[in-house]
Amino acid sequence: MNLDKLIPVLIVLCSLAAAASVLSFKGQDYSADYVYIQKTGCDLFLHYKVSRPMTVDVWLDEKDIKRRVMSQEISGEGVLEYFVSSYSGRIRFDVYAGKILKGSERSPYTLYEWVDCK
Amino acid sequence: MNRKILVLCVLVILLSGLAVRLVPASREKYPIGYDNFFHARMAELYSNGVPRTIPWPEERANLYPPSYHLLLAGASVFFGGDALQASRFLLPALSMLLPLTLLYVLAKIKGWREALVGFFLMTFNPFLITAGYNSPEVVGLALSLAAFYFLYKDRILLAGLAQAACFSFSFMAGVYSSVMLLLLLRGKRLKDAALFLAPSAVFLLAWYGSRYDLLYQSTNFFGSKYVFMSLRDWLFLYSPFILGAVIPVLFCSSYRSRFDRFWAVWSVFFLVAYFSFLVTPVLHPWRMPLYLSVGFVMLVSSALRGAKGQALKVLFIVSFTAACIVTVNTVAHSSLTPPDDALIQWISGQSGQRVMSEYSLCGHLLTLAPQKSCNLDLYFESIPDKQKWDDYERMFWEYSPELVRKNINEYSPDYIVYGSRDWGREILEDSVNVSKVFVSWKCDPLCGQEAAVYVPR
Repeated sequence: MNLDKLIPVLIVLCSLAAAASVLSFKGQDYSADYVYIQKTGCDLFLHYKVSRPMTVDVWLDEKDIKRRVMSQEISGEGVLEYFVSSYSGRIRFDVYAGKILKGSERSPYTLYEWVDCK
Repeated sequence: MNRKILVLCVLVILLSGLAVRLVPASREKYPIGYDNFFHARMAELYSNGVPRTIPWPEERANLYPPSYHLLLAGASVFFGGDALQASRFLLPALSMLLPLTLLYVLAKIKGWREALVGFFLMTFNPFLITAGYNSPEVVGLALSLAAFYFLYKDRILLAGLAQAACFSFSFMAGVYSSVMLLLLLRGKRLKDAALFLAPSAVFLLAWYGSRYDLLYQSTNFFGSKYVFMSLRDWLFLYSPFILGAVIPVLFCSSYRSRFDRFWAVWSVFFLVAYFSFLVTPVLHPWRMPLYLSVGFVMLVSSALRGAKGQALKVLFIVSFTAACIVTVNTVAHSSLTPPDDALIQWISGQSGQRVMSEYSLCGHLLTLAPQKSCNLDLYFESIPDKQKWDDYERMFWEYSPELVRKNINEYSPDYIVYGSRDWGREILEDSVNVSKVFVSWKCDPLCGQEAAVYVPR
């Protein structure tokens, strides 16, 4: 085997393969989904930007009280408002696409805030 | 080897090597490698003169070697003064200096065939490519290789000057120097050793001596536990391969000349240094495979001169390179994920100032939302408040409700931030009364972990 002939061929081929492989790099798309809570007294605003339709469930979430008080579809970008009345404690927002998954599957994205509106 | 073929090969490797480094960098919004956020901020300081101190997160001595930050400050002129954007490209391009130096050294000492193989192996070495996205050590290593060449040619003063230049880029120059010094002392060449060290001594005195009054501010030991957690799987994959199998074989087959002896000693030295991370992390174990790779490339190039087992050697080179190319394709992405980016943008518009987060996210935050304070800096070699740093880091790594409560009581953060790669938020939720006010995620196509912001009540 003549290394003087083989080495340049292998080197050129491998180098070109490496250069070609980087052309498949896309770089990251920095658009991410998000939701956040803005609280003004007893008014809670859920700001959202989601890339697919999702559902928001609003829960009054205390030890002795756990009840869903609102369920709403959201898509795109916008604000969802919920006014709290006669309640003091934690309020929870579950954001999920389709059904809420169980077991080891991904649970909904959850946010929560504390209010004192009694 | 035919001259035209040789030039063609060098050009193909050079251009492909630059493409492998610069194409991924050009397609990211931020630099690849979070250290660049620190380097960019340093370059901004240097544009107003050499700073004696680093102002964030708390003022401390500027002990970092100055040359890369000066270069970056200069390069940022071409990017409208934006050092962060300049850092996307400068160091990846400079990382080609090491293969080019190696090409020259091997061509002068061994021959063009060996030089070409060495140039090729080093250009596509995944450790060099990844280090080239955030560590000025890659420039220092090229200078150290030049120092080795001058030493080999008995041009001691030039070797010393190259090594002093290496010190101006990297702390690790001290480690490279010790191998060269070892060989000089072994040959009882005391005068040469003194001449070799003199330029470095002058630089070190000028740079660190002028700051001696500030040295006490820094606590540089941060525990081997951190390093264990930082080592990546791919590093574990390659290192035993290089260390455990290849180098001893090359060591035995190539132990013929002064050249081979040097790189064999170099390899053994770094092999020992690599395992020192079990005791202390001061020798940067996550860069050890890079230093070992230099020795490895030198030895494998040298081994090509032997007539035995040529097919095996070629097969080995090809398979090693294929593995490198696969690795390169899996690691070159910005360390800032889209959910973390959304989180930083959101938090920069909030009124609270004090943010508690893991060090990497904190480093990004300090650059992209500089009006906030974050008590961990990504430049973790020099930590202004070791206790606080340790408390914070453990909070993101240990499942300890007591530690979470202690941190929040002692440091009173406005926000506690978990990036999309952090864990431990369940402990926070279960231990302390917090509101969870922001969540961001990305599904592409699978949904990654959320980035979240908590506010203590």
